[in-house]
Amino acid sequence: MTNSNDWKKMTVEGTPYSESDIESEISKLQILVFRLDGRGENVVSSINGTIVFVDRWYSGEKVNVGDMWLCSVRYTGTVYHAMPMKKITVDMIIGMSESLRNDVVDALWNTNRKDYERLFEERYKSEIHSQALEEANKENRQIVSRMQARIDTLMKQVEQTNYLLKNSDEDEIVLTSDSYVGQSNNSNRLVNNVSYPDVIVGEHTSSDLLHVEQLQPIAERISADTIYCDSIVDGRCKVLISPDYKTLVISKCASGMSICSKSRIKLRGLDGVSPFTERKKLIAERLDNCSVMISL
Amino acid sequence: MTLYTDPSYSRVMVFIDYRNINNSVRYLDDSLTMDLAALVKKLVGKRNLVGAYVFDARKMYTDSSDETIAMHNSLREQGFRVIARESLTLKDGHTEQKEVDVSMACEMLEHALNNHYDVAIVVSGDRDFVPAIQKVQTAGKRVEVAAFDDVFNEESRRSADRFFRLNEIPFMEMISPFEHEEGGVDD
Repeated sequence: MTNSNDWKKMTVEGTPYSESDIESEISKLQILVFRLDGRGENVVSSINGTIVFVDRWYSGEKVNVGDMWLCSVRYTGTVYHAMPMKKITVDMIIGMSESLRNDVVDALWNTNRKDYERLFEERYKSEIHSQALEEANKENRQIVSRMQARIDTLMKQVEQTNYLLKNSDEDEIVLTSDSYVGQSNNSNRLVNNVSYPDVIVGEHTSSDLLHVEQLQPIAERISADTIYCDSIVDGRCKVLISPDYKTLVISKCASGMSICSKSRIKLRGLDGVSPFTERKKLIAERLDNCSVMISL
Repeated sequence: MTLYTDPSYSRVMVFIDYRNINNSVRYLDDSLTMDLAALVKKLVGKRNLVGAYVFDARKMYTDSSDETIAMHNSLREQGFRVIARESLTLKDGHTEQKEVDVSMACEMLEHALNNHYDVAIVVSGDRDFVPAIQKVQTAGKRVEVAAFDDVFNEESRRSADRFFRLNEIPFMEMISPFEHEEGGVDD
């Protein structure tokens, strides 16, 4: 077995190099990664920010952009000239011993530290940027969704108020549990009494947005066979009545046998189970998102 | 008011004596139909329904004019297990249901002894079920009874661990008038 350092001492003529010669030669060896220069014409590399050109006397395998080569470099005072010696490939790195691989990595890091740092920094910035963008988009979507819910609630409130204004035959109509509006001068007093939640465009607090007001549904017996309920969406629905004919549950249901049109539901036999005397408001309670319970 | 809590993991089995409740419903005309699925959902609540039986009578197999067959099939399609016993036809032509109560009591007890449920809901006010209810309770199960005010028996109500008044539960489906009827709605 030959010593691993023996090769350093061998020459063509059999005369050993001196230690200083060997160290001098080794110090010239660099592992370089090649790229195109600023003008996109020449394949170059850099050592500590100084440009490295491929030696013009080099006539071996073509040096391409992105290639990694073990080179012997020569400094001319302003630039380096590199003589490519051995192309470093993935297969070659895999085949190396661990210590040798570490040496290569260290050499690469020391030689191209600035380039690598800039590369890593750009990649990190790009990742952070896309992550921040995604988070901002998500937050925006949530805000838009909450604002939309708020708008829907307000629209509902306006619709209810309009309905009350249009349909009330009484002297007073109830808007909410604590606000009354006179029929004689509805429009003026209505404006004064109806309170709209503050909506500030462009500014919000999380607590404001999270709280979406749930209004109690409005239900009214408007004729012998018709019930009005503002919370029922037009289309098919299921209407269930208790055998004592006191409780009615209306639910949105595709297989229901009743039809809601403009928030009005006509029911066969309603007058029989609950005789109609006059137009009157009914106590209604929301059971869930698509069901309302009405006391007849 | 009940002593018991309603854990959502309770396994519930429902036993409906169809004739008992059907005879108590006041049908004005064909504008009302009984929605047993809605009733069961209301009675079971958030608990775990493991089976819903409907016990009823039917005419002889040879009688193809029996309207209950279609009704039973409709219930089966909704997921009910329908057990129909053949009726006895009297000399005057009337029919009388036979074996239905005993059949329901047996089924209830067998499932209890096999630990197939934690809570049995008996939808009937018939006093005949009291011994079966007590036996099921002895097997460590809870029994809830749902019945109409006018048919429930006080003994049956006292035997139950919980009682539901069917009069107050919305399970009769109403329908909109058809288009050709006066006042009909456009679909």
